[in-house]
Amino acid sequence: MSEFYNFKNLGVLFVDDNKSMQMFMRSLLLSMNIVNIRACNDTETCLEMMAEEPPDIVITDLLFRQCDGLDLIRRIRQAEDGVDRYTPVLVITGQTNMSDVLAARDAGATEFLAKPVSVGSLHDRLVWMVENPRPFIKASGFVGPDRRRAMRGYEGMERRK
Amino acid sequence: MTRIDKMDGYEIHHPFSKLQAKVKREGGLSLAEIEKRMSVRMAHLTEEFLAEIPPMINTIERMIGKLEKGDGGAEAQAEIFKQGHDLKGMGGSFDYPIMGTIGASFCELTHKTKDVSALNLPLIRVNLDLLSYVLKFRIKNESDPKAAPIIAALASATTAKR
Repeated sequence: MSEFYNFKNLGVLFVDDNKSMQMFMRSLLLSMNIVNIRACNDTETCLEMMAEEPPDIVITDLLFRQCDGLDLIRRIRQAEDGVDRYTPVLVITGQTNMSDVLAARDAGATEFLAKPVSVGSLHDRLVWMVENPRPFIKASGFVGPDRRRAMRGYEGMERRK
Repeated sequence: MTRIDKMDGYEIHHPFSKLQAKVKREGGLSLAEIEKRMSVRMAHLTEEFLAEIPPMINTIERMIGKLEKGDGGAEAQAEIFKQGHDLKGMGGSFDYPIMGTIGASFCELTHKTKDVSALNLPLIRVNLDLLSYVLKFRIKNESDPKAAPIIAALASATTAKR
């Protein structure tokens, strides 16, 4: 049975320093009726934009020319610049080794999606994030979604082991 | 608004779910409708993507040139890796999976765990030639008859890597 979701009110901040990927993601989100879409190329701009107008979700790659996606996630979880540390972070990346997935999880990513991205895979992951919010753990060495409930991407990688 | 349970040495936070508050079922679109909308946009997007490949080829060519001259070092290596990473991610997304495969090969050949002096520059160049060929003939995947030379080249490149 087809599931219907109305994403229209979501505000998305997309971080990727590749122009084609930004256009592609913008089109994907527009197809889902999401119109509040902002994009940037790096960590500093992302944090500034988050402080200025908090997004409902951050979608980010892990590898940038000038910065590091893991660092961005850690800084969000530390609530740097007063950003909302609970903001869901969806990692979309071509770096899909198990070590990359675990590093994203340990930095505080909410979910992981491997490129290439399709309408179906993004829709599926967003629906999962809506339906399955995770509590946060704040400990001395970690702030982020409870790692005992695995990210969906991580779960899938585990199954393939 | 966030309920916090204090445990022994850590806290469990239960933040308000903005996603659940903002995403409703009423007025939603089916996945089929979303896919239909996206397919209308894809032709234009793919042309934009393909237009980005020649500058990418030029950049990789420049970086290989530097490395062949003994210049560039880790910076040139990282730039080729980054271009490969982008290509790997975008190739499949834009329905050119064979470009994604070539991108993955660039990444593997220039991963940061490899020392600059140990880079297989001829093989990196083979991948660059393959990318130019794929772009010229707009080969999407291995089922395209024009892909046969590429499949053979990739197979021999894989053998050479071992």
